[in-house]
Amino acid sequence: MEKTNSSESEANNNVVLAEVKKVICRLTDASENEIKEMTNLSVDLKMTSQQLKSLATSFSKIAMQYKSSAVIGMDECTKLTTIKSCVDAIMEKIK
Amino acid sequence: MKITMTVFVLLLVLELPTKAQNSFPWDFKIKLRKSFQSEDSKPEAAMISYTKPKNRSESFLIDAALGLQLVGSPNLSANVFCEYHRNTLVEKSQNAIQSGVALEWYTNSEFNTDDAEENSHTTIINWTTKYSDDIIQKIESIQSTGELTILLTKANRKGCILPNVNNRIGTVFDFQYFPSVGYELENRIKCKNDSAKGNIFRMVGKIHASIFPIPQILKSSIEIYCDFAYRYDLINSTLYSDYSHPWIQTGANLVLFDDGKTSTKLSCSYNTGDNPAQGLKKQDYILVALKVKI
Repeated sequence: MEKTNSSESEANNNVVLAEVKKVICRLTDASENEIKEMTNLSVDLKMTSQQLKSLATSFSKIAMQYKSSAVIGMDECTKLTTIKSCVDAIMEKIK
Repeated sequence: MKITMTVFVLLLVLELPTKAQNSFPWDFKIKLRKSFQSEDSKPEAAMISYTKPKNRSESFLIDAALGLQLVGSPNLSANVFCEYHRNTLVEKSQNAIQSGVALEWYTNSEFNTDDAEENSHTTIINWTTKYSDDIIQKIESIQSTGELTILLTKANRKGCILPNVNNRIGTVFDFQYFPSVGYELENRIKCKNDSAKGNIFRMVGKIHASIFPIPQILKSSIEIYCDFAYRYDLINSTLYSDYSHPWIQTGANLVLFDDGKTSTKLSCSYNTGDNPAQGLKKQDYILVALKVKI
């Protein structure tokens, strides 16, 4: 799925945000509601390096739904420390 | 009056993309860091320090590793690397070159996705094979190490403290522990004396535990940690019969500055036992260091 205009881009961003929150919710101590209702997306999620690497696998699955070559490698995981950076990383890959 | 002059301390973590390859999963990238050994899942900065005291001999501290990433797959990473470790600051100095290949594999590619069960898990396997030249001890060898650990989703918690994740204990502290088990195989090709020649096969158990006191107030700026590794020689065809090798590092880190990209830490640790970085030579020392990551 390639982006064609700004409204579709915004829709993708929200869909990706929801997917990211779902993935993160399964790993962290925060409750589903806490994550869902989180508005400050720049809060450090305090994930260990092993968790960050596992995020790369999960986010690659999401990104590849939009673009088959959009792989997030394990070495790129160190930047996945906040919800915002996770969404940005995926959006960057599916540009 | 004696004057000690520290010329420079340079600490870097660099990642430079090279010419991109189209065929997945090849993804070549040059990296510079402290080490590519398995315990460094969180890359630490390469470190070069040169000190020249007046009327005394100079000293070096170099911990640097140059690597080439081969695979950029989501759950598999492969690197070839070359490392140089030189330390003349401790009683028994270190001068070693290592070169080889390192793999890291998260075996469950469905872990933490919609296709996985809520309480899914993945095994994490680290494997390294390298050529090592210990110039001080005059030992050339081929070494292979493998270790595994496990990562679980929070649905597995059920009142337990999970490994390899951050466990918040009320508001008092965060607790993390990283256990692993594995093996080390060493084939010594050349030695200063023939008695040290031969093959060694060891079982290894490691645990790293960290406590971050009152993390919401201190913003995890204080870390108190303990590293324990125990090695036992199951096969040892050399003439040395010291089969048991404990190694403990315990200390604290104080984060002075951290904006996510650069950081400065003050670190103090007590290290004792058979140091794996120095061919399991017995060491006992206190290290105080200022760590800067650019």
